[in-house]
This record gives sequence, structure tokens and C-alpha cells, in this order.
Amino acid sequence: MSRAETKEDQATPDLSLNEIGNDYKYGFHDEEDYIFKSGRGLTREIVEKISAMKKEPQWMLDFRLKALDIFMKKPMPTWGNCQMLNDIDFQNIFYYIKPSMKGEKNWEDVPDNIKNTFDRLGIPEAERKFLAGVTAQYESEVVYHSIREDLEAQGVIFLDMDSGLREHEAIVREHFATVIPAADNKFSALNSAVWSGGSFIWVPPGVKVEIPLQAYFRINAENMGQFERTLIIAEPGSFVHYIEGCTAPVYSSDSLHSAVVELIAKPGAHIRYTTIQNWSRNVYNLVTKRAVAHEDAKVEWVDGNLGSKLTMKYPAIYLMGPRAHGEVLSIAFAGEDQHQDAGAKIIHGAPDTTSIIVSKSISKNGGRTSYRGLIKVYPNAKNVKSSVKCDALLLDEKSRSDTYPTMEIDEKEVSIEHEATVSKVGEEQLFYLMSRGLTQDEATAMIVNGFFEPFTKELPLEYAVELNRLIQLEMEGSVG
Amino acid sequence: MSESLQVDNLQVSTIAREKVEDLCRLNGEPNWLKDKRLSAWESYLQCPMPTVKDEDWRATLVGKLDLGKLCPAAPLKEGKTASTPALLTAALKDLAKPGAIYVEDYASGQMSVAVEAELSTAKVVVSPFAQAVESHKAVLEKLFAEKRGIQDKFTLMNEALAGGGLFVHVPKNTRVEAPVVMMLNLPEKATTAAKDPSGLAVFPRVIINVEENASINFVSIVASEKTAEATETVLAASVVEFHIAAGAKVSVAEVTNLGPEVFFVNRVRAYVARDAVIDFSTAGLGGKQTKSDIETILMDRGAHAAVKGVVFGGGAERYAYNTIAEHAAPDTTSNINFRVALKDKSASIYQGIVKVDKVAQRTDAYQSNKNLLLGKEAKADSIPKLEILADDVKCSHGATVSPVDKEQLFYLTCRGLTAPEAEELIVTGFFQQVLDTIPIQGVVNFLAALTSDKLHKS
Repeated sequence: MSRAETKEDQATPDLSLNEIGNDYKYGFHDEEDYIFKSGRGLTREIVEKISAMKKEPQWMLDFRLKALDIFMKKPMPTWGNCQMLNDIDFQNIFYYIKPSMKGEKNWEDVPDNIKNTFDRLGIPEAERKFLAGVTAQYESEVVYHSIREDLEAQGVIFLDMDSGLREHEAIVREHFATVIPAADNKFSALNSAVWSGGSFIWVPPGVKVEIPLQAYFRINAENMGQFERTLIIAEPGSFVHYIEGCTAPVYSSDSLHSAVVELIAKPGAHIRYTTIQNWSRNVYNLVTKRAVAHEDAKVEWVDGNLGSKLTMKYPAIYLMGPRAHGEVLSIAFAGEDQHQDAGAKIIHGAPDTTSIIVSKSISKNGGRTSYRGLIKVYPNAKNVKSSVKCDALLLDEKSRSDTYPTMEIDEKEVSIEHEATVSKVGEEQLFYLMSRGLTQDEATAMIVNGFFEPFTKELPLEYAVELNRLIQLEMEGSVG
Repeated sequence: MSESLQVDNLQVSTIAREKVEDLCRLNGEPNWLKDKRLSAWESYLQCPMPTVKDEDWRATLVGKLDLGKLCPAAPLKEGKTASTPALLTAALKDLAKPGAIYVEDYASGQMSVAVEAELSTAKVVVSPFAQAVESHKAVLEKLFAEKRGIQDKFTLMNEALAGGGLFVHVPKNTRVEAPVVMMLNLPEKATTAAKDPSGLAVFPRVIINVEENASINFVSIVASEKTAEATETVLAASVVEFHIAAGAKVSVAEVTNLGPEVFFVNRVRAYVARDAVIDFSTAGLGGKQTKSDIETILMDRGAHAAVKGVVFGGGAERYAYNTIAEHAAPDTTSNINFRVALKDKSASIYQGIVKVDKVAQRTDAYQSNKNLLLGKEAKADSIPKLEILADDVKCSHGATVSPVDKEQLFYLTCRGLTAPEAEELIVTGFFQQVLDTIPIQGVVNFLAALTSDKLHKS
């Protein structure tokens, strides 16, 4: 009943009518307490300062400055939700904040105000019980970081990106920005210029990481941009599952979140990357995620988008070696004033590669979901098999759903399938459930949960439970 | 002689106002039409030339089209042409007895129209546009005033420079079974050796107005023929409009069979009123680049659009079909079925969008695009899109790309067929499923023969 509690916490008892129902479950925030906060706006000096504070090698500074040039030159995308994109004021954003303490190893040592944030989210206990390492990103830098001993014994590197660069420069330099170059798009260029934090994972050959690795990301300061950079390298024959989950406090003005995530699955390796994105409703979430799968490798993106104001995210997989396999499983939920513009891209660059995309979306209360995807098959990528399935549910007449799939097939020996449906909740299903004694709300929530089931069943138990709870919250009072 | 096919010194890229006015004078057009032309001409000059970066023109050869080298065709003279174009003869063999035949032959500079008594007594009008402007002034003025739909550089070009054009009018409650056949014949150079600095551009225009509870069948054939002339058609930019009143039904079969140098830009618009039906079939069988946009606008309850496509590419031909199914009213339905088979180096991009407006509750829309790759270097792109703003809808689409099914091949070769025979049977069957749904008698046989010919042509 945290919703009720949040309301009681309010100093003024007389809430205005339009505030009711708007209270975001995780909408509390701590007083700011920062050692360094860069000025608003983006300049060459700020980029140099970020790099200097992190004591980075020269090549990284050069990379950042080159990326800044590219960012300044690149025009805004002219597709997607241009109206929302053009509302972003790049000069009114903090590009770097260093939190008040260094990375911690023990939970007990984490300062109370940060602990409180995590406690209210109900995260740490669950994680300790179920999960291996915790990289909790608070603002731009990792504050809590623990790796279970058996991971260390296996030789797995699981660090925040800044530490990764310091401690394993050779590995980072070899792989960094090889999957997503700075010039890929305007937002990857921005991230490349000002990145901070994120995860760095290296899994040695043949090592299977049994327990999912996970990190929580939070945005805290107003107008704070988060530009984390994640790089996961799975050496031949290894396996790793990484989980990224987000919640953020509500603020009045817009926040920008622009991550770059690069995955490299070497021959026979398997990477699964799970995201549950629940940024508060004022966050722009403009993310570039891309994976390369070499021979016999397998990459899976499991991607859930519930929060944010505008999300534009199209996890991509480049299948570059024979028999590589890619899967993208995604759900999107758009409520009032939200636009979830998500999708998937699979590039078949080698023979016998296969891919599956399943996308499910729900629009409610004037929300808009868009599926935007690409299947590309290059010449000589023979015996490619690809299947794309998009289903959308519309819960009321104010909402909108779009499907923009693209298939570019330059090879004959392939089998490509695409299907999409858009519909409302089936009256017969509702009638059946209600005739068994459920209210319309309960019945609708049940149908929605069932609709998302192919996604939730791929999540670890505690995430599935949390997601179902989130959906129930979203659905409350939505019908009737 | 070749000069007589062109309007002197009139380039498509930069047209002076006087030239448009001259065109009006030559056609004897009234002032209101001249104003329309001039306003289209102004917008045309301001409208930038599309590039492959425009979503609508992706994977096309639009960049290779140089408007500066094109001259519009001179207005055609009425009269019997020396010989009937070959494809028309072939079509007439298969079709049921036509109700009217309208020919625009740019190879000979002639046009002709023949209407059967059956149609004339029913007061069905099939006439050149220039005559209709006088006889059906009120109707045409109303239709022109109502215009909506997508405008681009080529539609504006057509509006400003349209040469002749066909007008068909079917009065209330009149149901005509015998098809109205239109033949558009374009000259092709017999030899490509002599490089001509300029090519011919033609701007065909068709307006078909069908009143309440009436019905008509319309067959349109666009083809090119090799001539001894030095003039070569480079661009045909046509606009075809159907105004379908409440309860009316229009069935259309459109066949494009152009030579390897012709760039064909086509825009079809169908305005479909309450309980009215458009059943539109198109066959793309040849051309350097075919770019066809088929807009069906369902304007009132109960309106239905069926759009079917058969595209068979060979050589280096390119096709870009774009279907736009707009549901602007509740209880409307649409069904789109596009099948594409590609030989050699041919390429196709199919784009289709189903748009459901906020008010269009209980829309039922289906869109299917199947691509069969026969050539090693053939390319197929498919972009079926949905934009849904209402909630009580059933919208779905499916798309596939694949080569000939190996199991089917195996099965057929086991029964004693050679591999090429088996493949032929499979391709024929692939198209047949669409052809069988074309309601105009005889079109199936005509198209089956054309696809079969193309299948054997190496």
C-alpha cells in the first residue's frame, strides 16, 4: 500500500483533484549531496573536466572530444516522435555528477540516504537472497558494488565501467565502441562524449555464470542526464545473464537518459540481457543497444518498457558468424502522455543465422506505443530464418498503436515471416471471466497479465512478481 | 516527325507559366481548369524532387530521373490509329465484350474512343477529358473542389501538365457488366544506339465518377511498344481517381507492362462512400521503375476496399508499390493482398499502411504481402505498417519472403516433373490465388497468360 503511504506523507492534506492518481510509486527523492556537479549545458571544457576527474588515459579523452564534435554536427532524427525530441533542451542539463562517496563493497557501509532509496524500492534483501552481484548506480557513478566470491574465483570481471577502464584498460580499449561507434547516431555521440558509469563485464572462455548479474540505475538530481556505458564481452563458449532495472523519482522538469550498451558474444558464447525500464514519466529514454553475435553464438534481449515520457530504443543484434542466433522479446506499456517507441533490429550477415522477435504492447489512457523494427539479410547469408511477431492491445479509444516493420532481403535462400495484430481486449474473454465472478477491472488485469506472459515467464521470479505488481498498479481504475 | 510528339522546347524541370497557359489553350480548357493547373504548377515548382532518403521513395531509382531532359508529349489527335496495340488485341481476346474502348496512343500521336450502344442508352459517359469539361462541367468542378489525398512532386506535375485524359460517369442505379477498357500505349525506341538528349514524358489522367448504387468494371492497360521513332518515353506520371458514391461498386484491373527504359509513377485514389466498394487489382509486369501508390479512403460506414497485387519482376526491373488504406469512418473494412515474385536481378519494395482514424471504430483491416525470390540476385523489401488511433478494431498483417519451397519442389519432381516445370507450377499457383479473386471476367486468363510468358522469357 505504498501509494496510500505516499499520500499520507504529503504535508498538505488538501490534494488538488488532478494530482490524485498521478503519484508515482517511486516518486520520492533524497536531498542532493554531491561532491561535484558540472554546470548545466555541454561544452568542450565539461568533457575535458569529466575525463580529467576520472583520470582517464589520453585515448579516451580524444574519443570523447571527437564524439562531442560529431554530436554537435549531427542533426536531430527526423523520425519517431519529433515533437517530443525537439523539446529537449541540451543546454539545460547537468552532464556529470559525482556522488559523495567512493564505490563500496559492503552494504552496511552504504550511506543511509542512499540505502533508504533502495530500501523503499524493496531491492537489496531480494537481491542478496537471489542474486550474485549488485552494481547499484546512483547518479553517474557506481556506489555499491559487490561480487560474490565464486564469481571472482571463476575469473569473471564485473565492475562499473570507470573502474573497468582503470583496471582492465587493454580489454576495454580493444572492444570499446567497436559495436556502436560514436557516429552511429546523435545520442550515441552524446553518450560517447559524456559517458559515466554503467557496467563492464568480461566472462572468460567456457565460463558459465549461473546467477544473473544485475545493476540498478537511478536518476536523482533534477535535470540530470544519465549516460551510462555498458560493455559486456563473453569469450568463446561462455554464458552470462545481465539484468538492468530502472526506477526513478519524479521531478518537474525533464530528464534525459541516453545509454549505450554494447554486447560482444564470441564464438559459441551466449548473452542474455534483461531490462525492466520504469523511469518516471518525465524522463527521455533514448538508448542505443547493440550486440554482435559471432559463429554459433546466441544473444537475447529481453526488454520491458513501462516508464519514461518518451522511449526510443531498438535493441539490435548483428549476426556475423554462421549459425549465430538472435532473439528480442519485448513488452511496452504506454499510459497517459507516454510514447513507447521501441522495437528490434536483426542484421543477418552470415549464413544459417536465425532470429526471433516477439513484441507485445499495450496502450492506455491516451498513451502511444510504436513498434519499429528491421530485418536485414545481406547477400550470401543463405538459409537465414527469421520470424517477427507483434501484438498490440488498445485499452481505450484515446490511445494509439503503430507498427512500422521493415524487411530488406537481399538473399534468395531465406525464410522470413512477419505478423502483427492490433485489437482491443476481447469481449468474449471479458464476458467469460466476469461470468465467473471477476469484476471488469480484475478480468482486464488478468487478460493483460496473460498477454504479457510470454515475457514475464522469461524473467527471474522476483522480477516477474514485481512486473505483475507494476502492471496491476498501472491497470488500477483503468476500466469502468 | 519525332518533334511532333513533343511540345517544343518545353522541359519538365522548369516550365514557364506561358507554357502551361498554352497547354490550356491547345486543349480548349475553361478558366477554372486553367486556374487549377496554374496553382498546381506553382506548388510543383516549389515542391522538392523526392530522393531515396524519403521514406516513400526508399529503394527506388528516383535519383536517376533527370527532369531537365524530359519534354511533355503534345496533345493527341482524335482518329483511328493505324494498328491496334498488341497488348490490347491480346486483352480483347480474353475479356468479355467491352462496353467501351478508349485508346491513348502516344506512339502514333492519336487517340480514339468507341462506346457500345448498351452504354450510351444507359447514359454512361466514356469520353475524353477535354469534351467532358464542357458536357459535365458541374460534376467535374465539384470533384476538383473536393480533392484530398497525398500530393507529391509527380501528382502536381500531372495536375499542371496532364495531356488528354479519360472521364467516365455512371449515373445512379446503373449497373454495367461489360468492362470499360483503357489502353495507354507509349513509344519505345527500337534501338538504344542513338542517344537522344531528351525523352518523352506523358501525364495520363483518369477520373471515374460512379453515382449511388451504380457499378462498373474498368480495365486499364499501360504498355510500351517499340517504334521506328527516335523518341523514347522516359516518364509516365499518371493520376487515376475513383469517386464511388453510396452503395456503388467499382472493380478495377490495372496492367502495367512497360519496356526496360520507362519510369512509371502512378497514383490511384479511391474515395469510397457509405456501403460502397472498391475492388482494385494491379499487375506489375515490366518497366524500369514502377512506383505506384494506391490510396483507398473509406469515408463512410460500411465502405470496403479490396486491393490485390501481382508483381512479377525480371531483368533489372524495379517495383515500389505502396498501399494506403485509410479508415476515416466507423465500420469500414479493408483487405490487401500483394504477391511479388522476382527473377534475375529484379527488386521490389512493398510498403503498405493501414491508418485507422480516431472515429473509425469497428474497423476490420487485413494486409498480406508474400514475396517469392526466384533469382539469385533478386531483392525484396517489405514494410507493412499500422497506425491505429481507435481501440475497437481488428487489424493485422502478415509478410513473408522466401524462395520456392523445397518440399513442394521435391513432391512435384517425385511425380515426374522436371525442376523447371515444377517451379513454374509453383509460381503459377502462387499468383493464381490472387488472380482468382479478380471479379472482372476474362482478366484472370489474360494475366495468367502474361505471367506465363514472362516466366518463360529468360
